[in-house]
This record gives sequence, C-alpha cells and structure tokens, in this order.
Amino acid sequence: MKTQDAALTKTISATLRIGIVLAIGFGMLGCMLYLPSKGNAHASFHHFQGAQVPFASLHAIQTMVTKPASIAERGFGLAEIGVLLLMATPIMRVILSLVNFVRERDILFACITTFVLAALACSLMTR
Amino acid sequence: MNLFLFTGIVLLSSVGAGLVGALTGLGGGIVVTPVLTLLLGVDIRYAIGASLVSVIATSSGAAAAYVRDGLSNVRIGIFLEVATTLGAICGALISRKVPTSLLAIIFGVVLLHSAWQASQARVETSVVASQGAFAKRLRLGGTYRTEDGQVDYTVSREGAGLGLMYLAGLISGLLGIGSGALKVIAMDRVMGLPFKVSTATSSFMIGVTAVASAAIYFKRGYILPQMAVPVMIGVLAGSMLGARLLPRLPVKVLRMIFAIVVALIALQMMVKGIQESL
Repeated sequence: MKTQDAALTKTISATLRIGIVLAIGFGMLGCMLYLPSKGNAHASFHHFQGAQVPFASLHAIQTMVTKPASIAERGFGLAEIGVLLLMATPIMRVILSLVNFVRERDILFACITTFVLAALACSLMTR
Repeated sequence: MNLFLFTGIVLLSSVGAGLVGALTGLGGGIVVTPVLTLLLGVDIRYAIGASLVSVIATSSGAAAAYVRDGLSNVRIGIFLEVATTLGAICGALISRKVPTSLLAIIFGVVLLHSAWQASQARVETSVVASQGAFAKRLRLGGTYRTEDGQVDYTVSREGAGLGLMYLAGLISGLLGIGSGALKVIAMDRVMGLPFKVSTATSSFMIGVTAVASAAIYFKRGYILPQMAVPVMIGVLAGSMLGARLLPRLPVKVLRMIFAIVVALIALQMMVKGIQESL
C-alpha cells in the first residue's frame, strides 16, 4: 500500500515540477523579449478588448511565435504559451494519475480518475 | 504608468498572493483581484482571467511540495474532485436560472459563520476512532509528520464530505469564487482531517477545479500575457515559499490567517451580491 502511493505521489510531484519549470521558462523568456521594447509603453488595461486580441486563439499565438512582425510580438506569444503550459499542468496531473492507477491495478481509483477526466473534458469542450 | 512598473507591481503583489494562497488552500485570487482592479484600474474581466491563473499557479506551486511531503492527501483529493467537478458543471448549467445576487448574499453569510468557526481550535490528534466503511475501502486515511512525530489520521463522514464538495463545485460554477473555502471547511470540520492536511489537500485540488473554466476564459480573451505572466511567476514563487513555511507554522496561526481571508471573501461576496441586486 505504501509503495503504491509512493509511486503515485512521485508521479504527481514530478508532473507539477516539470509544469512549473516550463511555465516559468517560457514566461520569463517572453518577458525578456517584449519588455525591452515595450517596457516604456503606457500600460493600460481599463478597456476590455474581447476575443479580437490575438491571445484568444491558439493559431494566432502560433503565428506570433513562428512568423512574428517584431521581437516583442514573439515575446508576447512565448509568454502566452507559458500561461497555457501552466493551465495544462493540472490536466496532465490527472491523466498521469490515471495511468498510475491502471498500472497499479487500482480499479476503483482508476474509475474515479476517469470520471474526473471525463468531467474535465466535458467542461473544456462544451463551454 | 508604463509596462515596466506595471509588471513590477503585479509581480510583487503576486508573491504575496501565492504565499497567502498556499497557506490557506484558497488560491490567492483574494489578493490578485483587488490589486488589479482597485489599485491598477484593470478591467474586471482581465482581473478574473489573472485570478484564474493565480489559482492554478498556487495549486501547482504549493502542491508540488505538499504532495512530496505527504501533506496533501492525494487519494482524498482525487476522490473529492469527482464531486467538485460535477458540481461545477451543474452550477454552470443552471447559472442563468438562479438569482445569483441573492445566492451571493446568502453564501456570504454562511462563509462569515464558517470563518468564525474555523478560527476555533479543534482537537486534532488521535481521531482514529470513527473511520467510515467506504473511506476504509478507498484507503483514504494517511500519515503526516509534525515536529512531535508522525500523526495518523482517518476520514469520517466521507458521504457528507462528498455532498459539501458538490456544493462547493456548484457555488464556484454559479458565483465564480469561494469554492476553496468550502473545500477546506468540509475536510476540517466534517471529515475530521487535520487542518494542515485540509489546506494542503485543497491546494492540490483547486487547480483542477479552476482549469475547468480556463478554456472559456481563454477563448473570450480574458488572459493577457502582460498580466498573466507576472501573476504566474509571482504566485509560483510565493506559493513555493508558502509550502515551505506551512509545515513549520503552528496550526493556531494558520487557522487565524484562514479565518481572516475567508471573512474577507465573505464580505466581498455580500457586497457584490448587494450591488447586483440594487
């Protein structure tokens, strides 16, 4: 019983750690690219711009990184990827816990985790 | 204000948010939202997006250490996530048919009472007496280390706990905030878990609850890198610091911090509810 949970906690802890490192890495790299040129620009976020900003679509972010108009734009794109990696971390954590439960033949918890994953997928798709 | 200064202020306050979030198991939105809206004049929707990032960052940053140290009970967390995610989906589905402003006021009063209750000490050692049959089957009990040695604990009333977790998810789906508070209270007061295990397990769970609403916020353009990245980096740093502090702080102090933060959330909720219904 102890050894099972040791594997589980190790998996989860490692997943979270990798997620943190990747998110901070991309976030900092992005900041270093956009802050030098945009740092002195006026920062105002009084007005909500809605989904027309490029940060609302994965495709637009991909374009910002691969074919940027300026270095700053590539920075914004990379920074947003960092945030997306942070958001992907809890999902990865659930998926890898499921793999762990299946491998340990813990049927009850495999079912519970599958349910959580399905509910998560459902809320990500529909809303 | 230029972007340098903006980034600096957001980064520093986010370190504080992560610290509070990791110590209370609540996620730090209570610090991030007022700093962005009241101090920096950011539109509320960008603040909501940043607050969501803050919750996920607290969860990852704190839980990486809590899970490794055995403070988060992973089995209890995953078991209860069933109820919170189901509740969150139901909450989102019925949110247009429910008078949310009235609900916010009622829930604010409930939270205020819970804050007072949570500030009261509870005997935590050797509660091995009444383990539920279902909890035993799921092997929900655990052990955590304190300065005085190892503490074994078990779970009681897991059914009532599941019900409260469903309610926590429902409330977060309906009102958008406050689910962490109910999670900690359910584990601490109903299921009889040690307070540190309750907050650490809540920290572990809130990331999954928050991520359920992440896609919609992203698609609506709530998440801007200029704000989200300093929040993310600051909160991650603060929550990793908080996770190192929590094992050393006395439960009495942690209960006090938790009660104050929950009381603030309750007041914020009631004000919001009253404003909306006027």
